[in-house]
Amino acid sequence: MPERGAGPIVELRGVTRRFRSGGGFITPLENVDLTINEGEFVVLMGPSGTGKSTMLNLVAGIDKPDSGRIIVAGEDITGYSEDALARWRTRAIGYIFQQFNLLGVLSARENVELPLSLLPIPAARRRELVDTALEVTGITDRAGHYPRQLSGGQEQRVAIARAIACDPLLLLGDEPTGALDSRTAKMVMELLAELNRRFQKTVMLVTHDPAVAAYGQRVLHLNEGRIEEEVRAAHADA
Amino acid sequence: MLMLRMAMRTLLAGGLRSVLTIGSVAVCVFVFSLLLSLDEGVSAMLERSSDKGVLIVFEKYKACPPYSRLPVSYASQIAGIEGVSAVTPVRFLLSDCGTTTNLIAVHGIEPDQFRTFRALDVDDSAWQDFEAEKGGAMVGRKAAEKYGWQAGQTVTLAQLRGVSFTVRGVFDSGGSSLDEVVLVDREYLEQSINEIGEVTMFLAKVGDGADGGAVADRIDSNFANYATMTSSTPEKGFMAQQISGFSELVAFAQLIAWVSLGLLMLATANSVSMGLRDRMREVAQLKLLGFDSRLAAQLIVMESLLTGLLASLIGVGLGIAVLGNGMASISVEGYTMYPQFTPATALASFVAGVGMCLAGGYVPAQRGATRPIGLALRGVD
Repeated sequence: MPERGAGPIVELRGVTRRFRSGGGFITPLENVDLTINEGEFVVLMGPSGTGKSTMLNLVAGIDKPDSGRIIVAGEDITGYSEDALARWRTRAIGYIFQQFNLLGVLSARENVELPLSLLPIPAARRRELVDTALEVTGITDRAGHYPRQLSGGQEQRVAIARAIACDPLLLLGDEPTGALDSRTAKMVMELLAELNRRFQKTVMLVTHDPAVAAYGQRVLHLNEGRIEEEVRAAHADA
Repeated sequence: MLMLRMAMRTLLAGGLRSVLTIGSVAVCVFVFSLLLSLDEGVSAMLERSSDKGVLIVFEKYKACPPYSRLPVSYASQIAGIEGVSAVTPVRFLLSDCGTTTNLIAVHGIEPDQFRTFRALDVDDSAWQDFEAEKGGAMVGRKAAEKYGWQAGQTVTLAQLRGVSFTVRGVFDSGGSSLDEVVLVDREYLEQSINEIGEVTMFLAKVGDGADGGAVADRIDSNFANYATMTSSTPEKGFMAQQISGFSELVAFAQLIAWVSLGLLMLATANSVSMGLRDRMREVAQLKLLGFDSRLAAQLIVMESLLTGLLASLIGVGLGIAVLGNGMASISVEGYTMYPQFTPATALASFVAGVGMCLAGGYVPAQRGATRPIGLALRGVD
């Protein structure tokens, strides 16, 4: 089980990922080294096809590198099986999608409860954790609603509540505001920033939107399989 | 519990697809139960309609009752054979050899002897009226219900050579094939159809301690040199031979039963596969949340299980509605078989339905749940 501690929480060591494309290969990530420390808010930017989502998927254990190692909270997940990664993700990763990806047959509360139901937690404690997650994301009043009864912003709040319910080590977001209007996107980003500040959640986001990137303490620009530029916000080292 | 709720709601959310799947499985379960009940029906008919202590003396080499003709004078000879304690002639009048769902069988009997061979639940005074009046008839309960005949009513059967009789009462033979038979006085029947002195068969009671097989051999030996030879068999064997058409039908029905189970499994597998194709991303999301392939497969199989439970309940319910009241029947050579929808039939059909749904859901569930999450999230088949 991943343990929380000071220092690096994500380490990519010489990571390369290739995909077949037509008769040849494309290499969105090539020999990449990266360290993210606990509590950081990191944003990945860059043109399409430069490996931003690939990097996020590798860290989440959704994808596997062709070479190199991925270490999360001191745990080398590179050789884990799909099933071992699935179990590991329950505690380690909270993932937020552009399209929210809530399960339509479950209410907001049940969507948040679902990953918790996989952990050996007593029902009463589970209810408390669900309540807390809904409260933190400001969606308690919509707990009994189904995804089809919620606005895009509310759905994303539920998705964030679900992502943080198990108190994961890392919050990952792939264009989490991509399907939202600018006002709702701002509210969602404020929420993620709050989670980072108040609960020291490590956040790693992919975006094309500079307004979203402005929330990051570190902004990594990827291009042609490498981290081309790293910008540290003024407050990052404060 | 959350997974169960999820499976139930996914099933409900399936709309028309779920309805069609449940409907097709329910029909398969119903067909399966119907075919099982035929088998039970034949066994029950043999059990109820045959008396171990009674031999049937039939004309040798004649395959079906309308063609068997034995002189009624044989009765006194049979009665004198060692091991026979009683004998009575019976004359059958049937529409034809073959199967019909609307067959009426008239048996000409000796009213004063017949009840010593057959246990009938009947009002004694009605039977006395029947004995006293040549044109009277006692009608089996199911025949009376089927045709709406009541005591005092005079009936003419145009399709049976114009035989006419007055109903004197209704009897119950405890579910044997006699329940669909009209009993009339033998001599009256012979006169009505102008065939005097010939009967279809004799019922011969085997005396206490006598060996039925040996008695049958003695009867047949006695008539071996007569122009009309006999073939004597214990009643159960005779009936089994008479209803061999049923037995073949049942054997074929059992084959169809197994085919219907196979169809059920394929229908479920197809439905689960089609459903999963649309839900690949959902399965991937579950795995992203921490469901390993075993849990994800369990969730999908749970949907198949719910489909099986619901559909099997409907299928068995249909079986009870259609077959449970005992109204459906098939008649061959004057023997009527009622498919028996017993609790064992219901249970076997229910278990088979649920089992096949589980089996049908298992392979696609495994396949869907073990698909690499990266491919599934991108919707790559």
